Amino acid sequence: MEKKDIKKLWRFYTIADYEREESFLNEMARAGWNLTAVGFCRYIFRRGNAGEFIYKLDMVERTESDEVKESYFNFLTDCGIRVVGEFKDWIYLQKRASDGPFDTKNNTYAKLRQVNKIYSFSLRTVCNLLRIFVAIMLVLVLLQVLMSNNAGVMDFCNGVIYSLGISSLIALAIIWVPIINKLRRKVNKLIEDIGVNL
Amino acid sequence: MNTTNNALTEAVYYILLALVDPMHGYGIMQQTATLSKGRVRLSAGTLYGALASLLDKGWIEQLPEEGRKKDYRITLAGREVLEQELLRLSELLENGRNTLNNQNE
Repeated sequence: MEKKDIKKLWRFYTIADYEREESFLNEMARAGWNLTAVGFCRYIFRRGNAGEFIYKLDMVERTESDEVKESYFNFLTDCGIRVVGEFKDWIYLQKRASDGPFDTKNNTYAKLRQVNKIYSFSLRTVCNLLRIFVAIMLVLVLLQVLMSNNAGVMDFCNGVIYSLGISSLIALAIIWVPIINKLRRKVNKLIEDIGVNL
Repeated sequence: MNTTNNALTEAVYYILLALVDPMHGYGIMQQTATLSKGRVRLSAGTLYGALASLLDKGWIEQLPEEGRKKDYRITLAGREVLEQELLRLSELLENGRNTLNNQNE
């Protein structure tokens, strides 16, 4: 494979921007660049026939057992779908365009299923991060209580609690609040489209 | 028995319909596309999730495996659900037709 037939691009998409990420991959495929591997913000394409493949993102949580994953992957293979990349909890699906689309265009149920999966995953992630945060803070407070006669330890714990603790909490909020909000709006919009509220 | 008493989604309806004959996953997708003349296309993810929950409800069953592909078939309970759904759909259809035809006369 010659070097000019390989293209490596950097792109950043948050978990809430999976639709934009899908569009990006499909645009590349239409221009003849087929996704072959995925890493952190990194996409590797190989030159191929323009419009031969279409792409879609799916989520399979890392916490799922190997059997569940294997059974799902086998099922996808049977459906003519190849998993071309895996990154964290995402899998990148490739299908021949001539075999038809991944699902009905504008299928609200399918979209809701996908975004709900991502939304609950994001909420769980934030809860887990908060749990870790609380655990670390509790350890530090406990340490302060136990070592209250040691000024060095007191200062260290105070420093960590006030600087690192607060800044990581702020970082958590800045990163995750917009993502959760965006996903929640998507979920609500789709629920409205289905007509549950009618 | 359809215990939830809800309308079936198009996906579930077509899956159950396809499984009147034993079939594997990809067959269900093709059958659905054919029956609906390409209007309804089940995504692999949708179908995989739906098959799992239909198995769970006992509306379909898995046949003994031959090779790697898994075959499924509708159960008696599944047939019952499908028949209930047909009754519901005929009611909708009949009322719709009657109302609109009366208005046109």
